[in-house]
Amino acid sequence: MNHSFKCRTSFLCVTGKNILSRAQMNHSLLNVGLHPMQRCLLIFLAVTGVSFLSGLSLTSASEPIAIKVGKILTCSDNPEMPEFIADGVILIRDGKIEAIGAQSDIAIPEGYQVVEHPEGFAMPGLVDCHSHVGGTSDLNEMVYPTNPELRNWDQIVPHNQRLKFAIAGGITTVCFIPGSGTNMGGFGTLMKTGPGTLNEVIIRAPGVLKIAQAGNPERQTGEIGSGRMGMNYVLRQQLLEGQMYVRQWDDFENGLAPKPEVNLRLEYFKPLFRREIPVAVHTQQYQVVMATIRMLHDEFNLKILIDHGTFDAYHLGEELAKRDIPVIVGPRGFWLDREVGQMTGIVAEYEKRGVKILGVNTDAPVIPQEDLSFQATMAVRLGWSDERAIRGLTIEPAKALMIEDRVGSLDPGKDADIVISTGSIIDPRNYVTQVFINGKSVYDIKVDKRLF
Amino acid sequence: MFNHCNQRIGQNRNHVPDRCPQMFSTFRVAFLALAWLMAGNHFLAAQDIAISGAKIIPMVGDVIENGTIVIRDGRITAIGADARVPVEARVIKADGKVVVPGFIDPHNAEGMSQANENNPNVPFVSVLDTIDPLRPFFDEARRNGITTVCVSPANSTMIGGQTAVIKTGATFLDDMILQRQTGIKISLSPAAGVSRMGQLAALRKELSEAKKIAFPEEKTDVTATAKPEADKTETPENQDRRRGRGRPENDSPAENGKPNPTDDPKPDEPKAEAKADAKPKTETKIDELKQPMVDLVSGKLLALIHCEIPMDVDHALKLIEDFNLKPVLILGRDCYKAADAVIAAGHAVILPEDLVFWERDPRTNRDAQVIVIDPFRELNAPIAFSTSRSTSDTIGQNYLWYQAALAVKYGLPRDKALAGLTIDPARMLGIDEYVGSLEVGKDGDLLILSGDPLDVNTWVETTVINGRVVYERSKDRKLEILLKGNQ
Amino acid sequence: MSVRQLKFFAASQKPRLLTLLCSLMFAVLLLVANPSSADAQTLYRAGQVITMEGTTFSPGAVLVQDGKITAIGDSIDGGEATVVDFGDQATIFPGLIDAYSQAGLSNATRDEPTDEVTPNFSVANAIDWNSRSLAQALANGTTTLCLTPGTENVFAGRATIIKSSAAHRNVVQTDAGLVANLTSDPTRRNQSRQRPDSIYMRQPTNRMGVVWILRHNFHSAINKPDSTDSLNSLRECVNGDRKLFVVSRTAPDLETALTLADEFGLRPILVGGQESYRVLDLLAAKQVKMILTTVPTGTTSGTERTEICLNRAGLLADAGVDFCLSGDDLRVEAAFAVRHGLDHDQALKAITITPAQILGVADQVGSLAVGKNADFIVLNGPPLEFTTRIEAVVVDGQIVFGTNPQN
Repeated sequence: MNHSFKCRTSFLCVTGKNILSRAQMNHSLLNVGLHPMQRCLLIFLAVTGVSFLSGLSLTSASEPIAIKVGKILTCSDNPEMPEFIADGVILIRDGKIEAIGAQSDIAIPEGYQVVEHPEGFAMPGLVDCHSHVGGTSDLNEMVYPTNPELRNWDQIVPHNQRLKFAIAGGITTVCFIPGSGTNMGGFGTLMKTGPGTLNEVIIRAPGVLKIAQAGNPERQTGEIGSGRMGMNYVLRQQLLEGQMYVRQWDDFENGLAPKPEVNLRLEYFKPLFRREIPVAVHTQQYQVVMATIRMLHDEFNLKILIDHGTFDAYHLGEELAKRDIPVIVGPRGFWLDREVGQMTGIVAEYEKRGVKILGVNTDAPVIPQEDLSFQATMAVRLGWSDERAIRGLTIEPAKALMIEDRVGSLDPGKDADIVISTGSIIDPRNYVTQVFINGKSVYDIKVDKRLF
Repeated sequence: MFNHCNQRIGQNRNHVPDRCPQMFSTFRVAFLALAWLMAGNHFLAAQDIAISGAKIIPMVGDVIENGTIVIRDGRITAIGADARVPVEARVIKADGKVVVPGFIDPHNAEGMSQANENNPNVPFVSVLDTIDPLRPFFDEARRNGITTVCVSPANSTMIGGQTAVIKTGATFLDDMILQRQTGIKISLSPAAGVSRMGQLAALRKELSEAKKIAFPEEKTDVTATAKPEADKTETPENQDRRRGRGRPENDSPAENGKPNPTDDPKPDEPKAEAKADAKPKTETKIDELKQPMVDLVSGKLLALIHCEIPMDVDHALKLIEDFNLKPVLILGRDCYKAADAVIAAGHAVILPEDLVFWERDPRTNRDAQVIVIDPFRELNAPIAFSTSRSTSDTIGQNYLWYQAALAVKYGLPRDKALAGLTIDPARMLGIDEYVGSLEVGKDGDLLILSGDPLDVNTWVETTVINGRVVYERSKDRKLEILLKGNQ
Repeated sequence: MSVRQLKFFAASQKPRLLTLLCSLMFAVLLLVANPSSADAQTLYRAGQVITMEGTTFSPGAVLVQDGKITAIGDSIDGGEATVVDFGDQATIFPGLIDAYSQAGLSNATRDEPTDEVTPNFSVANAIDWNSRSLAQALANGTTTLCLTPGTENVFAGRATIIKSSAAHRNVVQTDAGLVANLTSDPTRRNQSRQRPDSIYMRQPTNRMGVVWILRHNFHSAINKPDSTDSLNSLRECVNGDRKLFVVSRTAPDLETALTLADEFGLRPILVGGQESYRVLDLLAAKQVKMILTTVPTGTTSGTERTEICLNRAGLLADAGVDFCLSGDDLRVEAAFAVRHGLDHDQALKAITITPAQILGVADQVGSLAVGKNADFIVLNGPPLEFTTRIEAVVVDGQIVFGTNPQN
């Protein structure tokens, strides 16, 4: 992270600095050779332009906020931070959570805009690991079976109509991924659902690699890959190619070998094989999830998350737990085994078998994005524990995506993505009343129309 | 403890002589070792078991009346009328029962998900990527006494992929693998749209190319571990092929979809290289696509060759001779007409699921019964049976023991029929070191039967794999429902 | 013609006359000498003879004349009879009887597509004696078959009982009963959305239609005595003068069949019975006779998605229901039935005397007794072991399959 730009005079420059550092961290688009002040101006125009166009209520970008709320669910793993705070206050500054605690413990400093929700519940913004609604709907580039060169942040439409609904359901972060039409659809993006430029909404790009290990990619043409053996073979070959490429670069960087040629097609394999980003695997049914474990995790040593895990794959719960592999279940939440004849809650089964990082997803638009909390509701109805359910919407998916340093819980230093609702979001009778993303209010039913 | 191919050795032993995939790294070893240790793998806690009081048919040696067999750590440690039972062993009293080695199915295309690959030339794909241990096939296997099965691609192909031998007693694949790469499935009966001429020509071409790589002319010392040549550099043409698009000029289906050879990584060699100034992780490349066929013509992999009609047999025998293959012949029912040739060549044979059928004599227009087993009685090579759950008209063909009984009915000596369920398929697959008979040192895979294996009233009471009880009829709820119906 | 001319004529024809005389004498001699002549007897011997009349002879012998059994016992003095000794290891067992079969009927002949109601069509007119299926049945030991039309029509037609031997072409009973189908099979090709001139634009397209056609026709048969002759056979069923076979597999269909039987005073023989285990009490109470068709080969469901019950024969036996087994290989059917829980002797009966009784031909076939047809099979082991092979099949006193030990 390069904080070479210094400018303390203008509040915009402060924001600008944050945006820039994010951009630099993500090797992203803003590769402009501008004077820092020029960059600042550009960003200022962009930000105000966007906020003007979006027409939503926006607190002014840098204004610090204090949210006073009746109950706070922090979902924090920090032993110092309580799980639950009654009559709490959250201080937001510069898009991050500055402080959080009981109102009696924390004084609200001067200049903070105060937002009051005396009867409300506050919780971290919801995180969905499997979403296809972050941009245009042409999800699949299906000419070739593997497409590691494709990246879907080229397709993002920030704050699009479906994401607006998502916000109304409390979802603030999504893993926007290519479709499962091919074995390797491309690299996906971790993004916020709120308004902003591409840079503002992107949390990390490349966010994840998308692999689909059965089903849709099994094409019925004459190529290899119309059956499962061939499909897995093609996948393996592509990963080997990528692995070799990264090793060549590792050797070079360790001074053991000459500089290899840059292969643009394979560049994003670097963070992947260096275990900086995970693979979001479309995998379900026993044999397929078993293949995922054996190939992607055991053989290639990648960070993975099981991004469906439905049907009878829960029988692999122990094997997954042994390896600490996150499981994010959806869109189906139940399985009716013909032999057993019993309706089985899939998430509950994984919990029973010891899977620790466990959550739910929607595979939006298969289930509408805003219905993510309903997925948790159904999972609880079918046996998941209440306590784990809230976490399974927030911090656990954040861990699965390897962005738990940014989102997923209400902890100082993390992004100020906060959802205020009328009660526990697991209870479907409750609804979202206000949502903050990066410290800005992006949805407020007092001002906007209620969307969900 | 691991062998060089990173396979766990021990209770759930994976026997991999030298045919495993070549991906290996110290890091992975360490990681897997740690994972394995942390796994709390219950195989470590395998009980010692002893089965006493049974009539034991070991398949090698004499039948033992009223015998005992002891299994420790998954292997047979003692067998005989006087075998001593260790104090800590769990004893299964089998008085009046018959104990036989677990049955071996040497060629079965069930147990897989979505196994059909349209491309007929795929020697590099493996059944391991598609075996589904939760499929009903495995449940049925344990119920009917099949403890080891060689899973193989089906017949509608040319070079269908690699077969593997697995035990039927566990649910996670790694715990089931006995032999990772047993052989390659070859079929002489063409898939739709291809003529036999075309099929054979393409097959010969593939085998010839592999032979050239395995035994290049300039090398006088032809070793089995000859390295394949490096392949051509990347051209736009190759790029197309790598991406699976476009038809190459020679129109061979083999070219489609192959990744470019120059991009294929070479598998790391196993070495003790914990040095700080380690060699770079990348080394010279081997074409992994060609390796399986090279291994085939070098005799390291079996050739499981399916012959549909008698003329296929002649061609198969020629291919076996020309390319020095180690074959197992999978015969269609009409191939009984080529039995003489098969017997003369002395190759292992897997008999078709129709051991008797009717045929019309084109000269007299009369129907006559054909007994497939008849001409094969003289065969001096391992023989085995097939089942056909998906296509059978009669219930009998679902069971290996029924096929053996039918063979006896039509004249095969009883001993040979029982061998065809056990030691013969083990020999033909090259796994008789581990399974196929009840002998000290072999895997503890056996069946406790309620009576003679070929009797109509005999049921499998207990199935034991690697010394663990994996099936008990007394607890088989599914069988209860099948017999009584779902009330 | 004058006498002189006649004499001359006779003299000139002398060679021909001589030939004629010699031929006549030879023919007489042949007739006398031919062992298959009307008066010849054959004595068949074996290590065991199972009569299915309650006795088993070890060793045993059967004396046959004119295609019928004239004596049976452990040793018989055959006199002039030709002796055929199958050996000590052989077992003579009654020829098997398949009470519901389509052997000898090709696909084209077993179902009439133009009409769902064809009670007067008879399979007797459609038998292909040279067909493979008949030869297979014979080779599997089935000596008597009740041939029936298929399952595509509601009223499929009439059954015929034959011997399986192509050489004899022996029809035991030309008109053996009417076959009706209460299953979903008749709905198969019919569709409501067809071209109006299509023959398939007709009922039944679902089960309601099937039952309606059955009821409608029986009702007409009873209440309109002057209506068409085509319903005569239905009337005969009602009056008990004709056997009625009704094919039903699922439990609800079996129940419906019995309800219909009550409504119209019928006493059907039920065929199929895959789910009969669910209506045991009803079957027992009504003393229904059942013909069970072949055991299912899958483990998830059987024909018409019926539930699997491998031991339905055993359950029927326990409930006291009269049943027989049917299938291409009756010994395999019986062997598996025993494996799945049926009593061994019951199983033997279910492929011999019981189907004979159900078909009403027990006076001629079904067991080995004096006066009955000489139909038997020669086995080299216990009848229901898989390892046992059929060495020979005798129909109407003659070896028609397998080896004659004399040769």
